Amino acid sequence: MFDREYQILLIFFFISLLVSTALVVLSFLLGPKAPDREKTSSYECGFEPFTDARIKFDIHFYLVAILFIIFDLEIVFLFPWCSAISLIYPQGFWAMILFLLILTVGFFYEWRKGALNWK
Amino acid sequence: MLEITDINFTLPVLTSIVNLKHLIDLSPELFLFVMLTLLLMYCAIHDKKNDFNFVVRSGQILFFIVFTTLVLLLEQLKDVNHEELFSGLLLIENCSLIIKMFVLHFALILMIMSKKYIEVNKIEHYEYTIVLGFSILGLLLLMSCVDFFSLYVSLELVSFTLFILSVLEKDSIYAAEAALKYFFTNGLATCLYLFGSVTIYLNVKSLKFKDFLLYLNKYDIGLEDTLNMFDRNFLSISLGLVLILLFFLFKIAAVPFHMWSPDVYEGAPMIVTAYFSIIIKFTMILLFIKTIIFNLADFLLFLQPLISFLACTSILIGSISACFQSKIKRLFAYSSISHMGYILMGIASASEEGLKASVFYTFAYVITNILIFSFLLSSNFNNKQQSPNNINIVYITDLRFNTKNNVFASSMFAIALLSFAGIPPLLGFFGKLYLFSAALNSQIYLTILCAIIGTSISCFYYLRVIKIMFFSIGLNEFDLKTIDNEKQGIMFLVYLFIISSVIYVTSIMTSLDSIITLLQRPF
Repeated sequence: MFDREYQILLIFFFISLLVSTALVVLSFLLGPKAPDREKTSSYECGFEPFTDARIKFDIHFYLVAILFIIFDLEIVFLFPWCSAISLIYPQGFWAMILFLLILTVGFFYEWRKGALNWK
Repeated sequence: MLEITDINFTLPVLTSIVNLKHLIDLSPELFLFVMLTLLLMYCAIHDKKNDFNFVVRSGQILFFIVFTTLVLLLEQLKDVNHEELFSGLLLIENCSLIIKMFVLHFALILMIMSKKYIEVNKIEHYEYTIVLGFSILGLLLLMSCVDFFSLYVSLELVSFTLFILSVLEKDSIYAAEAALKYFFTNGLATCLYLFGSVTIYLNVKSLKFKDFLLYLNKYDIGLEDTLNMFDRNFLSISLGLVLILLFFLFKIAAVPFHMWSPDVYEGAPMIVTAYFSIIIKFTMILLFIKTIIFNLADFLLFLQPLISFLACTSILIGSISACFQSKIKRLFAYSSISHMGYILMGIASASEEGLKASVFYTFAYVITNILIFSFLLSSNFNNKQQSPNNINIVYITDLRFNTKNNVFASSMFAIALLSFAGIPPLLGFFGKLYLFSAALNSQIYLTILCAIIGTSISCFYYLRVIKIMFFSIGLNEFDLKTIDNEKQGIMFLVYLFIISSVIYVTSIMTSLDSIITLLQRPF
């Protein structure tokens, strides 16, 4: 880990750190600053801000997104399994069946909990 | 310089991964897993909304499941056949089975303790039961791991259940804060662990503990090699090991990584706090000691300054901060940090004696904690006028009541506190005695000095709790008469165990001898 390639990486890291710090600090120090009420208020296409920047939204969106990710990942596991199914032993086949069974239990639970109902 | 050709892509032969013999060897865990899945389905079908009786019933089912697991485990203990499972991911051996047995016992005790609490506090989510069950499953798997990878997976199983358990009271802002803090800090710790194991993998080209030990022997890295400190292999290996060490310090909440512990203790409901400080602490410390003896044994002298420094800071910061706490859970969180310091002192002794003393102290700490938490779990306000929002005790001053109310329970609680403080004929004293003598033999005098200062400070806050309990003008707001028979039974048994420690302490130490020998080279 103290070899040449990593030294280059280290140098790169420090230079990028230096440059980015310099950009931020210089623009902070040298830039003209004349704040007034209009400039400091949040910009919304020339209008007065309508609401708070943080809006509440339904937890269901979040829940559906999470559930989507779970089943999406399942597909990620399934595709290589499909393409390699001639190479793997019966153990490989049954391992995936077991995984799907466990996933089904989870799916059953979320269905019974009403996570799939859109009120 | 690492090149692609350096890495041996040795895929495990798939046919040898699963065979039926292995499944029989893993029968307790498999049984627990299958039954938990069925319990989850059962609960999902029969779920009655907002019914704590249902939670109690599922808790009873879990009790029988865990009990059967224990029976299976005891059956396995009769005839241990020391076998590697799943191409060396898990190892079934005597010592881990014994630790698993203790974990299951403590889990059963905790479930008995928490029944009444669920009824009184109306915990309405049956998920509590299932998540608790999966957490126990994770802890069982954790003890058999002999591979950095399977260790990681089991630890994640435990951590995720703990995040969920700590946010059980989901309307409380304390709980949300606690769970988030716990999640982020533990995520960081996991990163450290992964980086550490990657660094080890770069050198050893294997994640198995066995291969790691072979590597150390082959290149003769270890104690004698401290002169050769700037050797490249030595540096990267010790970097990896130190990172893994830091991860374990995170898990047991020793000082530089202790900040999550008081918040999580405070935010979680009392049953989860009890779970944290009895079972999780117990398993994590024993896992720590086990991993150290497996992997770090030759490195222990090299790491001695680091560990003894952490022991000093844990003891001092833990006991000094505990003096300023007004909430009872935070008090016990900080006191547990200082106890972790004593256990680290035993490890820092870098001798077999010290490790033995640490294991003994862990047992003493956990068993005393059972009494403490069964008292706290049964303590709640009788009438709603006194505290409209919270029927549980929060502040230490809530403990003030006439000893008339329940002299027996409160005096047992006081004895447990005195045992924590290390007053001579009690269990905690012997724990500290063995630790101090081990540290003296290893000549880490500065650490001993810190430990002595810490012990004297800790006497202050334990005695303060006793003073508040017995010598302040009480309001009789406490309803300790509702303390249930099971919990009283547990408290009395632990009480007998604490006060009669003089009789059996030497025999326990001799039996620990054999456990440590079992641990040393299991391969």
